[in-house]
Amino acid sequence: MTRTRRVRRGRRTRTRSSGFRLWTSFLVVAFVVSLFAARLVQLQGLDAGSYASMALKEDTNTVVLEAPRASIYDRAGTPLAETVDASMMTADPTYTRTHATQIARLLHHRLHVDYFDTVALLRKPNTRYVRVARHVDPTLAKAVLAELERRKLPGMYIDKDNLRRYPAGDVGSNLVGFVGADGNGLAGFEYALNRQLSGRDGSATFQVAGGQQLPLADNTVVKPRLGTGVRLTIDSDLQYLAQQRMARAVQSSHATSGSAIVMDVQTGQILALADYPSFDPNDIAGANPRNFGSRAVQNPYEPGSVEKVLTFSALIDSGLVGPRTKIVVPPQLVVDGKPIRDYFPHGTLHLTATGVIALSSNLGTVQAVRQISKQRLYDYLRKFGFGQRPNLGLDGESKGILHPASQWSDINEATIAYGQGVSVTAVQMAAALGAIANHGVYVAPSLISGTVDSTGTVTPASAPEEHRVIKASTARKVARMMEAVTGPNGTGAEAAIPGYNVAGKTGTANRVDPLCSCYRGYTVSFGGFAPADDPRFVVYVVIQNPQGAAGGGATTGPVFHDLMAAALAKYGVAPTGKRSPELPIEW
Amino acid sequence: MSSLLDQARAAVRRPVESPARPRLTIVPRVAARAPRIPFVVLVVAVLSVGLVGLLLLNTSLERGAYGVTALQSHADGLAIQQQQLERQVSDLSQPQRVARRAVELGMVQDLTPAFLDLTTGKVLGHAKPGVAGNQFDLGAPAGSVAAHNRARHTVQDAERAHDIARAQDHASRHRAASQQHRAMRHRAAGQHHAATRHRAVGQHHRQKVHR
Repeated sequence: MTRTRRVRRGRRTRTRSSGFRLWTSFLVVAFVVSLFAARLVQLQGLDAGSYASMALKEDTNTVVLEAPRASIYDRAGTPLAETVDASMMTADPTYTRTHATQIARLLHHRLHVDYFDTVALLRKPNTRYVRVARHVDPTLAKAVLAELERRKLPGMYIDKDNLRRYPAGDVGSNLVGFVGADGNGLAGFEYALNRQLSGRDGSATFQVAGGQQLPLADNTVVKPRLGTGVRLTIDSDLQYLAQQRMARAVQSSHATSGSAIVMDVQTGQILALADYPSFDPNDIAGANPRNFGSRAVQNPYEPGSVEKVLTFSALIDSGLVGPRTKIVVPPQLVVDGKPIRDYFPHGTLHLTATGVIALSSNLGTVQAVRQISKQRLYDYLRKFGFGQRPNLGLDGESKGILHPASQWSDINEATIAYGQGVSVTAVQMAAALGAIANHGVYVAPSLISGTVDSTGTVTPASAPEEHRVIKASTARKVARMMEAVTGPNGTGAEAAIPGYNVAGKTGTANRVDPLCSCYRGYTVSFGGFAPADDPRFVVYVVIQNPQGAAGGGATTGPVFHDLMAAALAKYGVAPTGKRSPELPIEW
Repeated sequence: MSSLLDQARAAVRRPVESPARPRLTIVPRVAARAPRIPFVVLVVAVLSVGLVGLLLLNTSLERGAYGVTALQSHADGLAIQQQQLERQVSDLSQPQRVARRAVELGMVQDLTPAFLDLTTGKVLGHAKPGVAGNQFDLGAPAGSVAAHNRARHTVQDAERAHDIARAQDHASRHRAASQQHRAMRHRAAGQHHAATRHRAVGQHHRQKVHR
């Protein structure tokens, strides 16, 4: 009995104290759990996003999938500008600092980097990444790294790099242009077509563990959008020849600059467009920025007598003049109180219209042009492409200067008739001559023959704009008159190619000097096409400000001859074998 | 028939016979307990097969990853090699180089293109032997001073060469005349079968390099 009681009492006290303990423990546990819960809410509810992204960052890796810049090709598909894989040598200065001189010496020998600059880079404080050498040949970079490893010189790494190369050097550099250090085009088509060529980089995101890609984890790949290449109409061989020939002509006449154009008559495609001086896109630092553009496209000038063939085209097409029309050429004319003379002194001459072209008489042209209204002449010149941008796809194309006929005074019409007081670019002039060569149909000149996608498929450019300017019969008559220029009595006998009928026209114009905004010096030019009775090519050559005894025939005629002969030979254009009957020059 | 009925009756009757003596005995322990060892073996086997499988899978994936890396670097190397070769080709086919080679070989520019009509055997154009003075001008036109000077030299050199060559040319004209009518190029079949003359001395600066 006593035992029972004791037990009972004991049990009672135990119950009381255990209830207390239970309660306390519960509180403690509840408190701790509430702490955990609070933390949980904080982690999962409040900061969840940032932690998740931190975790994701820790084990995901994003790689940029580069879209290499597309190439620029010539008409045969040979690259004029291409992007090649290169390597970049980088360094972690915290490792390289101690043995910078040894590394720099090796790099100087192998990669030809500046020794002192390299040492400075390898010792650069407060950074763990410096670019030591860019655009390194990948095999060379690997060899250099292997040698560094062999010599136990750590801290150098290889990164991917791209290099824009211009394998042809200065051939077509006035059109192709170049890219800057950031890979964006700065001149020529590299600039004008920058968006098309560059494409857009893609990226690949994948999860990694211990430096290896997790095979079955999430992968996100944004495919790079590859750039679209462009195929030019340029024939590298002719282009090179034209550039070399222009260089010699400009240098030997001590001129400021010059341009030459070879154009396919039927398609309007420009096979060669040379500007001198030009530049080497592989050596931009050594180039003069004034030479970066294309003068033949950007710089308008007064064309001079080559324009006379357009004036006579208008006159003949209007039925006012024929190749044999007799014109009395006085020694001098006064229009609006201003005297007009010929470049050669003469008494009163009796020339045919052909003679006026062959001898390039200003006075004869002025006499003839009086028969046509100003508006009509203006309309013809517009149709020949004057005062309108040719839209070759380059930046900064000039449309020349052709004032509306309503603003012309009599002296304006007189001088415009022989190519003064009107400005054109070399491309406009070549295209205008092309209209006469192409049986009276103007074909817009073009420099782009098509686009090339990443698989190499060429999509031809849309057909050029065409319109008729003069009747085919007019074009034939004018061509025959132009043949007289390269005849034995003409001003452009130097341009004749034995065996071929060559139509041409010389031009010696007073040049507007931009420095004084006055006439100072000359612009000499020669334009024409061959074979005159079945034209295939237009060649137009212009040289600015030659010194000494220079004229359209003597200075630019031989250049025309060489380029035309080369084009005819290369494209296998045989002479037609027909001899055009000679037109009378005098009466 | 009756025997069947009897049997059924007996079967119904039997429990009725026994209620007087309910027998409660201890149910013997179930002796046929499922043996433990096979089960353990099975589980262990399943586990180890799974583990080994996972290990193999992992290893093969890992090996694959290494393979991918190795092949990738091999492909990279080949791509670089291809690029280098393509670069060489494009460098070698550049007009400057071809022109220099042509001049080294003594070729001159053809300034009077003429053609041989294969159907009639007639020469189209004025066939004239090349003049050594028409040596191609190699000066770089990029516009730098150095290029300028180089170009000047070439002009002078060409002029000097012209004088020397004129004498040689005179002698070789004999030979050249006999080779004048060797056809060089003809257009697509059916068209104008024209071909330029191929001369010993005179040739325009470049024969088409096959690209």
